[in-house]
Amino acid sequence: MTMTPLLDVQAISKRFGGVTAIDDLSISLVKGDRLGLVGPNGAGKTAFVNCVTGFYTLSGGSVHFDGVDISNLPLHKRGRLGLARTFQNIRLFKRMTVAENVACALRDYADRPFLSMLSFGGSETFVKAARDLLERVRLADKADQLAGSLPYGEARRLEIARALATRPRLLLLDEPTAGMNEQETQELLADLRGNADLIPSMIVIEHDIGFIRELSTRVVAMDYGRKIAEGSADEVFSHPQVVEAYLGRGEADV
Amino acid sequence: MSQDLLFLTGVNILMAWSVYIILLSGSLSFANGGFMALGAYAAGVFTMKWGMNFYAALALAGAGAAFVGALLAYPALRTRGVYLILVTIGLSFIIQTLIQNTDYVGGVRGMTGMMGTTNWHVWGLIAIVGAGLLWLSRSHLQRQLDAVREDERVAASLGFDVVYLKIVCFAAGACLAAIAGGLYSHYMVFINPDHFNIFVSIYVVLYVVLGGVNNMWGPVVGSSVMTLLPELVRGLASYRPLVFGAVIIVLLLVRPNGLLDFRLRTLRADKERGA
Repeated sequence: MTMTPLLDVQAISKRFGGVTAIDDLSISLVKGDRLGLVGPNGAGKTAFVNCVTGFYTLSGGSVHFDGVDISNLPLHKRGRLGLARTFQNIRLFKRMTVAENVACALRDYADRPFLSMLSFGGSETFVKAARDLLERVRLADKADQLAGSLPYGEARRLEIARALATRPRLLLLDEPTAGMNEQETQELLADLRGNADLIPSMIVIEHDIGFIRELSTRVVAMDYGRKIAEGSADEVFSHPQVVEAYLGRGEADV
Repeated sequence: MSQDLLFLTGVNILMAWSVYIILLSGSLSFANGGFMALGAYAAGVFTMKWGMNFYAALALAGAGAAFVGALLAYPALRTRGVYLILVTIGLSFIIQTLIQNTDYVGGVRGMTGMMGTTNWHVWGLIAIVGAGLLWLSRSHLQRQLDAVREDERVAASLGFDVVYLKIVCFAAGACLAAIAGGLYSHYMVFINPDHFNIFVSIYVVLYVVLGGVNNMWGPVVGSSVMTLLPELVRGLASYRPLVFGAVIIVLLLVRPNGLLDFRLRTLRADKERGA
């Protein structure tokens, strides 16, 4: 018996005028998968995340999430179904505090903002839930600072905590270690492992090959909006087309 | 301070809050003068022509404007930024023109005979709406609205129904503006469509922007200062637009984010630590 895929992306494409960002791309994953998505800049990795989470409308193809066709669902409905993401260029609510960034996204309340008005003294519940999540990403002592004041690495962790507050069934991380040094990268790896209980399934876009090897159960490589290789990290990183995409064609082939 | 000035200040505070409520979800409305006109005329018709109770007339006018606001908000909110502003400006003109051409409410000649509003009504409503806004400012809803205002798309991806939040805010703002309009017409006794021209909408937005858009007190300070200043300085009353222009320029230079530029936090996380 085959398992229904959690995410089933079938032959999607995304065009901007004459530019094709994604071209006939199919990717599927089952619950528990940790998919690494690699490829050179401009390969269409972020466009893929945008297509899945609803930031882009598809030019073609379909996306199913847990059996539901979400190809044309608006952003908030995909969020409520359990898709959460972070952004390559961090997008926090900068004028709100660290704790507020997490609290506003808490799943139990996100769907019914007006009902939440009726809960007197409800703020304790939010504070506790937000602090718990912040402790998980080592930001509890910054809870009352403005999110805009956080340094880069902490801002990235806060974005992850905010995504986790929605209790995602699939978390999509877009270059979580961009701009981080080796030590910060290792710490982030530990954070993601430590919170594995809150991340049932994951897609992570990364350039850091070590990070991908450590974190993912499966790797897909993209170039020019297409899938060029798929398999274990070893298989993908030694695949000739992947090597070529990263390092360029050998002289003999020119 | 004269009764009239106290009344005018109160109405302007309510109007400024009506814009502020819509602004909570990140939309700027130049239609509130129009909603004020709707409320002024509707409540007037209800009491004068239908013999309805004053309070019931206000409530019905408010509910009607909320309905119209929600109906108009749906298509209007599909446009963003400067386009939404143009749509709301258009709304103001449409409402004014409709009233001018409706003989039932007197057309350009206006309508007369409404009374019953006292300063108690106006300031009582200010207390009620103020308490509501104060409660809101500590709530989860406020947190979500702040998130929507900062980054609509990200807020939506977290599961917030942004369109719904915006429509509710728009309807609530329209409702408050209409009730303020009803109070206005039943104080002034006589109204005509010119009382609710586009400048009313523009002035009210300026009250909010000058006072500060990030907390509920900004609109209060902005509308109070801008109502009282031209009246208190003798001789300036007839130069209202000039005073306005000068104050805007000075404030934009000195306090670009409004007189009261602070945002109240919806929660304090360190409160838990001591316990």
